[in-house]
Amino acid sequence: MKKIRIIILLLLMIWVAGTLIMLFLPYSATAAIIYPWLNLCYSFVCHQNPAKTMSFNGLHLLVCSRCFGIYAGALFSSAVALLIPVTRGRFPFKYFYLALIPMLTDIVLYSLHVYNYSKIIAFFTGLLLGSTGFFYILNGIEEFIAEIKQTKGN
Amino acid sequence: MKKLLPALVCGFAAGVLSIVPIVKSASCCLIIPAAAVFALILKQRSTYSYEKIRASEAVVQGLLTGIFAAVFATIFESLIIFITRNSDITGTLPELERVISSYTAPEMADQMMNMLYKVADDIKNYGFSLFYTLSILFSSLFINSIFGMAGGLLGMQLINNRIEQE
Repeated sequence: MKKIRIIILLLLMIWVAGTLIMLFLPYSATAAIIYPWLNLCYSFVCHQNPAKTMSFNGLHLLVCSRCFGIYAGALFSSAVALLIPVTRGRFPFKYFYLALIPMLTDIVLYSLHVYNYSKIIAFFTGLLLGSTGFFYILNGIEEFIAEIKQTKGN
Repeated sequence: MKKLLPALVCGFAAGVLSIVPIVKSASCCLIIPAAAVFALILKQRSTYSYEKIRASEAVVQGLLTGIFAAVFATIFESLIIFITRNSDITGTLPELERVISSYTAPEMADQMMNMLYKVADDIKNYGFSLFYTLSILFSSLFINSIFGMAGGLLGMQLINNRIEQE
């Protein structure tokens, strides 16, 4: 299962690096060549509204602050998961709901114009959900792999 | 068919929602995983089976939901492009041109921009570009399948936790 966790960490690193492609543009022509395709790919999972997206050197990330927070949180948790022993069993779902509440509250409050959209709040609420949600998905992946192994064993 | 129906219904809903700007703006990357969770709940209700969900079943439902969502989203996006003769790519062309011409060799930049301008022209003149439609379809099939499977696994945890509590 450690191998699976390493593979997931690497895949998440590639995914997060994709959102930060503009940082690689000065150093790699390939980055500029794949930029339009990456831009299209990330558009399926994010609205990419420039007003809600962090930017570096005048170039926007390929996902909004909230999505970036979710992916960064998942990446952080995938690194932490390498340090945690592999155990079977389920996490209580209340932690997921607790992590979801700040994000939903932020969405409702800024949609009702209680306050203006804040990239920092969006990032941190996304980070909380991403880092918590990752462990549930990881648990599911490990259960799926255990099932496959069991089927092969039979 | 009964196995496919929940994924089809939720994939259709996700396909519709993913092209509605306000919904997309609020829910971002959570539409497809949420659709996969609902597909699992719907499947349980439609089959009157309230047993624990297996991970393989959750992955298959999530994958199917992602695939259906990608197909429907591509169909709706193509329809909207056909009607409006406008797409996301026409809006992002200036930024793409700035990036490509700044960081690639001039010959390569010209080739790439010619291709992108041809896509934009096809959309403007005919309301359809085969290259753009296929790009949307295959890219969204890839991305939505992954997000669908992740949603399926999350939904499995949610449903099984609820069953364990009962």
